[in-house]
Amino acid sequence: MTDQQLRRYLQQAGRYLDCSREDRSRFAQQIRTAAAEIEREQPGAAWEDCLRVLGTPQQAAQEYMRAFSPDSVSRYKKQRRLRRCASAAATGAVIAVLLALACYWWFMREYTVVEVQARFAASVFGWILS
Amino acid sequence: MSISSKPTNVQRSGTINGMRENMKKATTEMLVLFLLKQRSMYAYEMIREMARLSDGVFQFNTLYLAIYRLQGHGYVAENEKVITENNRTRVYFSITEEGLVYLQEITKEYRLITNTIDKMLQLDGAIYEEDAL
Repeated sequence: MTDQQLRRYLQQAGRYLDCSREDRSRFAQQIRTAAAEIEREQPGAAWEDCLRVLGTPQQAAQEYMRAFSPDSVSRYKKQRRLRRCASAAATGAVIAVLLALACYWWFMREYTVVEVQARFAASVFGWILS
Repeated sequence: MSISSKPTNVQRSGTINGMRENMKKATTEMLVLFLLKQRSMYAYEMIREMARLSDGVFQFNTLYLAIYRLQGHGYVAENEKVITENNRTRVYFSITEEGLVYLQEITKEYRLITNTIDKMLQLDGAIYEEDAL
């Protein structure tokens, strides 16, 4: 099996893991260890043969999640939902501020130029008179 | 009953595949501990022995993760690391004292459940004969 196949496997399994980053990392480590042993025991084994031993990404993730209580899983899902909402709200706020700034610049740009010219002209004229 | 060795994503209730997967899940830990009670083994060897001893009926995938989970619970421990003639490192697992106690408990529970189900299935067609009369 190749690194790319293993990476894709872990990426697909990750969709079914409802746990913290640390636990996901532990899962990845266990899969890599298992894959390394399969490679040692069956050098050059086809990817399909490895899947027979490892299980599909979904099966592996579900087997791993059996170690977690339903309470901890629902707690993690709730925290993830809150984090996603907060992230979406923050992104929306930043976009809104940028849009507001862009609109302000668009409508006020003409007035700004005239004002500078008038001030400059007035200050030069005033200096000449003095 | 034969259990397919082909990996499948179908685990819906109401399907034979779903039932197979659930039964495999329910018995994996018991069978791993049972094997390790016989002697220390490395993980790949367990998979091979499981298939051999069951005449190909049981071909568990995800056994590695079950082993690591049992290790996390303290029922299984790394016994030794052996470097083979091909320069491969094999990590042998063995069952712990806690694992032996747990195995005894779950085997007892397994026998209770399966005997009860067998008893019920033997009454097929005869349970409500008196009502019919």
